Amino acid sequence: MKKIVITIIIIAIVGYFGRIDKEILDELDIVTAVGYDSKSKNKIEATAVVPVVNPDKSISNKTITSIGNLSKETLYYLNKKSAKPVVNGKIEVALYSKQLAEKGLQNYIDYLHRDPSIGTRLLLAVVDGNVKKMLEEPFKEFDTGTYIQRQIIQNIQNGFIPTTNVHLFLSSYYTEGMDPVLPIIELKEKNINIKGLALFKGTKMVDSIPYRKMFVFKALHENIKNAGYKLRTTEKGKTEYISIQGIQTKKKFQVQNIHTSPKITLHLKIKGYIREYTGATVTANTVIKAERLMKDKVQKETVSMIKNFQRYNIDPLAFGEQARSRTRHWDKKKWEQQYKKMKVNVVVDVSIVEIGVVDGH
Amino acid sequence: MKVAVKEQFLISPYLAFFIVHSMQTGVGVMGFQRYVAIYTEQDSWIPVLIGGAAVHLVIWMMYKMLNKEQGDILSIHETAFGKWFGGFLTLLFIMYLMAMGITVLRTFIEVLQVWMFPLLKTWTFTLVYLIAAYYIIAGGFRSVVGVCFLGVVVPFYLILTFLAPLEFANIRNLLPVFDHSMKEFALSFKSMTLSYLGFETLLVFYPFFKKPETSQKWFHYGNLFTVFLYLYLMIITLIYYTPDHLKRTIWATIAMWKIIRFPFVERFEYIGLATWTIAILPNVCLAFWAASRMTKRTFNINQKKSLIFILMIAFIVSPLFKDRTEIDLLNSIVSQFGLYFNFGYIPFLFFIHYIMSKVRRKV
Repeated sequence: MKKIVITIIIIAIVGYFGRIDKEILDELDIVTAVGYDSKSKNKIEATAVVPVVNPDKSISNKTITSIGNLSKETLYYLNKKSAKPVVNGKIEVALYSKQLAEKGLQNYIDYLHRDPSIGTRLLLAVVDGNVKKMLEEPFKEFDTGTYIQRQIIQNIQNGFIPTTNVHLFLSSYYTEGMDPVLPIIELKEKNINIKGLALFKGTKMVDSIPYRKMFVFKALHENIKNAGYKLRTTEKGKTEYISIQGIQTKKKFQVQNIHTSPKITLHLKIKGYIREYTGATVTANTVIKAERLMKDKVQKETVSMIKNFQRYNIDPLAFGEQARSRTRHWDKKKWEQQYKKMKVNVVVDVSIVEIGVVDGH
Repeated sequence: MKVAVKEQFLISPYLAFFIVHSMQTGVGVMGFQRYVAIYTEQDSWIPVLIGGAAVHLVIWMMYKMLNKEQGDILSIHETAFGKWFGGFLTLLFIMYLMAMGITVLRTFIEVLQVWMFPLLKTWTFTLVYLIAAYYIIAGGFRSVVGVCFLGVVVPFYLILTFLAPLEFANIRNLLPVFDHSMKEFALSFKSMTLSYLGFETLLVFYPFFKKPETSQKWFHYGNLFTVFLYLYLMIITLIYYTPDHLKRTIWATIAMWKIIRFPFVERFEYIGLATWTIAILPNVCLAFWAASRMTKRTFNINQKKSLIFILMIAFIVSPLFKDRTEIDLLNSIVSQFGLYFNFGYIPFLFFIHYIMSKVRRKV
C-alpha cells in the first residue's frame, strides 16, 4: 500500500512539473528560408518564408517581415507578427543582400552557428538585389526556401557552384589559410539566376567572380565530378561552338621553397567528352584543337584569377592551407607577406576521351 | 584481507569488458576533442593513444594490488595505512564516486537542455533518472552489470552515424604530423586522460568476479576498445573541423550530427541523444552503486539505506548547478580529482602497498 501511494505521488509530481511545451507540427510556422536586407545605417530587415499547404495539396508561401538591429532580435520580432510560434529547425537557406555582405556577415552568421536547432547543411548565398522581393516570389511545386535550396544543390552537383554550406563557410572563416566563398543569386524574370561567386575576406565580401569564370574557379577549388563547358572557335572565318560535357577534373598542388620564397605549382587535369559541335565534322583534328583551345583558355583565366586574388589579399583557393599542411611551425604573418608576391604556376592538361555516338558527319 | 561475496551475486569475468567500456564513455565523449585540440590541434590523435596506454598501466597496477589482497580498496587501504587512516581515505573515495555520478547526470541534463528542451527542469529529470537508478541498483550488482551491457550494446549503432561527416572532410587537416612541443603534448595528454576516467570503480567491484584474476584480460580489452572508439572519433573530428573551428565547438561529437539529414527526421541529435540516455545510465548506476557499497563496507550499515541517502544527496545537489560556468567548474574539479587519484595516488598506493604487505607479513 505504502509503495503504491509513493508511486502515485511521484507520477503526479513529475507529470505536473515535468511538462515541456508541446510543439505540434500543424500549429507552428516552420521557416524554410530567411533573408536579410540592409534597411538604414544600423537597421536590418529580416524576411522569413513559411510554406503553407493548401487544401488542394498545392504549396504556397507566407512571408513575414520585421525590422531590427540584430538578426536574432528580428527573428524574435517575427514571432510577434505571426499567429503561430516561429521555429528555426528547418531553415534551408539564409540569404544576405549584397550591401550587407559588403559590410560583413559576422553578426548574422553567429546566430546560425549558435542555435542548436539549425543544421550545418544550411546554405548561405548572397543576393544581388532585394532579398525580400526574391523570397516573396512564388514558385510552383515548392515553397521559395526549398526551391532555392534545390536549385543551389543541383548546381553544386552538376554545375559550377563550389560545394558550400554553413559548416564549410565557418571552417574557412575561422581558419587562417583560407577565405570563404558564397554563390551570388538574383531574381531575373521570375526565375532564380546564378550570377557568380562572392569572394570574402573574413566575413566581408570584397570581390566577385562572374558566372562565365565559375567553371575555372570550381576546378581550382575542388575536384569536379560532372559539369559542362562551352568553347568558341573561329574556323575559316566562321564562329563555331564546341560543347564539352561530363567534365571531371583533378587538381594537385605542389609547393616549393616553403621557407624562403614559396612557389606553388597547380596541376589541373580535365577529362570530358564532346557533345555538340556546330561546325561541319568532328575529326581527330577537332578533338586536338578543342583540347588545346580549352587548355589555353583555362590557363589564361586561372592566371588572371589568381593574380586578382593576390591583389585583394584573399585566399579562397586555400593556398595557405596547402602551405600550412606542408610546413613545420607554419608562420601565418610571414605567409601573408609572401602570399602577395608568390609565384603560382599552372599546368593544365585537357583530354577529350569520347566524341559521342556520331563519327565523321 | 579477503572480501567474501556470496556465490549467487558473482558475475562472469568477461563482463569486465562491458563494465569498463560503459563506465569510460559517458558525457566525456560528447566533447573531449576540443579540450585536447586546444593544445595539440592536428596532432590530437596522438594523446589519445598515449592516454590509453597510461590507463592500461594503471589498470595493471590495480590488478596487482587487488590480486594480492583478494579484496577491494578498503582492504588495500587498511593494509597500507591501517584501520583509521585507511577508512578516512576510503571516505574521500566515496565522495569522489558520488561526485562522479552527480557530474555525469547534471552534465547530461545540461546537454538535453541546450540541444533539445531549453525549458526542461533539472530536478524533474533528475528525479525520474534517480528513481530508475534506484530500481536498478536495488536489484544488486548483477542488474547494474546488466545495464552496463545494454549501455554498450544499444548505443553501438551510433558509431556508424559518424561516417556521415566524412562527406565534407579534408584529410589534409591532419598534416603536418608531430608539429607540437613536448609541453603541449603533456598538457593535451592531461586533458585526454580525463576522458578515460571511470575505470577506478574496479577497486570496488573486484571481489564480485568469479575467479577475479581471469577478469584482468577482459578489463584490458574493454579499455582497448575505448581507446579505439576515441581514436575513431578524434580522427573524424579532426578531418571534419579545422583546428580553429574545433576550438570554438563545445560538443564536437554531437555537433557533427547536425550534418545528417534524413527525409523523415530533420535533426538527428534527437535520436542520438535519446539513445545516449541509455549510455549514461551505467555511469550513474555504477557510480552510486559503488558509493553505497563502500559506505556499507566502511560503516557496516545496510546498503539500501545508504543508497537512499546517497541518492537523496544527488537529488538535492544536482539542481544546484545552474549554468554553463558552474557545470564546467564541477566537471573540471571532479575530473582533476580523478586525474590525481588515478595517475598520482594509485601508483603511490601501489608502492606503499607493496612495502606494507611485505612488512605486515613479517610481523
